[in-house]
Amino acid sequence: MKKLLSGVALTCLALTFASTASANEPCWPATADNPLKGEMIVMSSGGSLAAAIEEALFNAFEKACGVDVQQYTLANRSLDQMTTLIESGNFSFDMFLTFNGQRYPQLLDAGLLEKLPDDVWSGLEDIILPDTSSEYGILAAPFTTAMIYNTEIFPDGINNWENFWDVDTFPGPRILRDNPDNVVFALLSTGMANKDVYPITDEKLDLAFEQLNKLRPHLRNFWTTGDQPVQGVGSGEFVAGTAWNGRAAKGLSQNMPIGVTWDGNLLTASYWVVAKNAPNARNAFAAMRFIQNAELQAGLANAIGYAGPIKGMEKFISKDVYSMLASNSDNAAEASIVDVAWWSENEARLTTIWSKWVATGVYER
Amino acid sequence: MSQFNKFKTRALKWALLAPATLLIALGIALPVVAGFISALRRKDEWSLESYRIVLSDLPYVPILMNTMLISILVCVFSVGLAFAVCMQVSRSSPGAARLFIGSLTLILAISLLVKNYALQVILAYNGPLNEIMVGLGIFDRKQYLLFTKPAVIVAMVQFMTPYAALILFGAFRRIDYDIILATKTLGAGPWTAFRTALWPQVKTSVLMVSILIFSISSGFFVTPVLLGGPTDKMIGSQMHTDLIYNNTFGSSLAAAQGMVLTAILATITIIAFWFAGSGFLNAADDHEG
Repeated sequence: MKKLLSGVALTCLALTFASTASANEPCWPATADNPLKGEMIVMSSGGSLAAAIEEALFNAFEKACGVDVQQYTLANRSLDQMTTLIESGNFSFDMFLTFNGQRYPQLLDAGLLEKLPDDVWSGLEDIILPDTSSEYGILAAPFTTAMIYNTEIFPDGINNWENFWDVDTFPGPRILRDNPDNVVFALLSTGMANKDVYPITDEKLDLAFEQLNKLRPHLRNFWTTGDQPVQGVGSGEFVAGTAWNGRAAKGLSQNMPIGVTWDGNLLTASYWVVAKNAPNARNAFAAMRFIQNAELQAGLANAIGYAGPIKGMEKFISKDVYSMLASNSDNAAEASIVDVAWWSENEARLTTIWSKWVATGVYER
Repeated sequence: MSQFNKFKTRALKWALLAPATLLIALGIALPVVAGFISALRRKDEWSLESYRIVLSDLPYVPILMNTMLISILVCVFSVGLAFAVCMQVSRSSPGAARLFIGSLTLILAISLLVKNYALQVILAYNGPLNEIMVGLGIFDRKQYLLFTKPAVIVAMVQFMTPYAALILFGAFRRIDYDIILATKTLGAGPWTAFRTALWPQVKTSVLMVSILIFSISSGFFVTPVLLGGPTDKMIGSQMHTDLIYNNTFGSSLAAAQGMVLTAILATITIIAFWFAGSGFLNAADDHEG
């Protein structure tokens, strides 16, 4: 009994110590005796996102905490690839961005993530939004797939998914992403409420593909890279489609004639996580915490249109950028939030059904 | 001493052969074996299921057929175009030949992606081709030209023809025109002269180029994605989809598709060898002469 009590007391002491330390020390868990040193390898998809992340987040971390941050990029990384990389230990990286939302539970189930220290988020309760962090990771950048349309063809816009499906009132070719998550849009097009989408039962799946079959003659293409739909709808090749919010924002900033409908946008997020047995885990924990900063995240938002949801970042962001953020509360309120647990379990099955349908027009469950 | 010289010669022979042999063993044989094995591996068990799915189920069969159809068409058009051009240019002045080779090299220096994006602009709904065709009254209204099979084939032919021409040109330069002249003086018409005097001199090269174009075409990945529609998917894109989004059997299915494609290409090459007979094997000797 005495032992237990002293244990609790020690924990309390440690917690007090940790929170005071973190309040003054941006490079937590570094202390004067034990500063951060060495390097850290960060992995992301590369391209403009990696450049923006380095510029907005890691340059500041490098400068403030003295860790040499190396970027490693691997676009389109599959779960198998990640498993091989992490389990073999041949190539070690420390902190990385999950490929999409459902990859986070998948990696967790596969035992590929390092548990974060207990007090990693302590003292940040005021700026980290509820349910965005866990003991294995934190929301890196919420992103969404939203409807876009050509404003020269439809000056009044297409307001919801029911209208997107209404090819008589809004005629013309459309483009969707080559991804099974379109079944959600198909369900919303029947008038289903966002909250009623999950779980997607077999009956709902049948209904979704019934809707998709109706739209099929008007679906001229399915996109695989983020710029395709924005260029396509902007140039009038398609009258409407879906696009990632960051790409749509880029199109708008280039004065493309596109409009965005937030109703039923597919909100999800990538996560920052630490690889199991990461060689520089301590540096990675420090970096995870360091970047939870309104000003830094606002810098990322200004650079690329994606950012972690940190309270108070609005005041550092231009109004145009803020209006296009997936984490903007107005946009998020209209979202159909991707159920990552459901997709984690069903992604493989749905992908098979979807790619069959895309290539042949045949729906087989 | 002579024993030592013999040893030296043999060592030199092996030293010359070793790098290429190693490269083939490590770069081709090893991945093929690894691919074959990973296609048999479905999660934690061994099974032929992935091969069965790829060879008999939707969407793999139509995608495989589509890959073959596009590759055959691209091969026929590219080699045909290259053949016609080479036949003409090989008989022109050395200056024209140099200009021809120079411009081919220049064309090859432009990346596939740039060529594909250029076609995206040209074939766009509001693009120049539509404007011109409607302006000239050839189309009565704008057509959707992008994201169609012809768009994919045009782009691939555009990319492959310079390769075909560059290789065929070598064969055409070595043609002995005296033989053709001889057949003509003996009274042969143009067709007979082509068939009996020209074709035998180039057929081996044409066959080799065709196999090469077909093989490269079957692995195309970006062009069908950028310029094709949903039903123009080729095997490369499907492998990509399986790898990234099918986290249960994706790598197994992708490996099985790779193996099936490899098997098809190997079969075609072997059949070609067989048809061409000794000419194929003697091609190297012919080329020296």
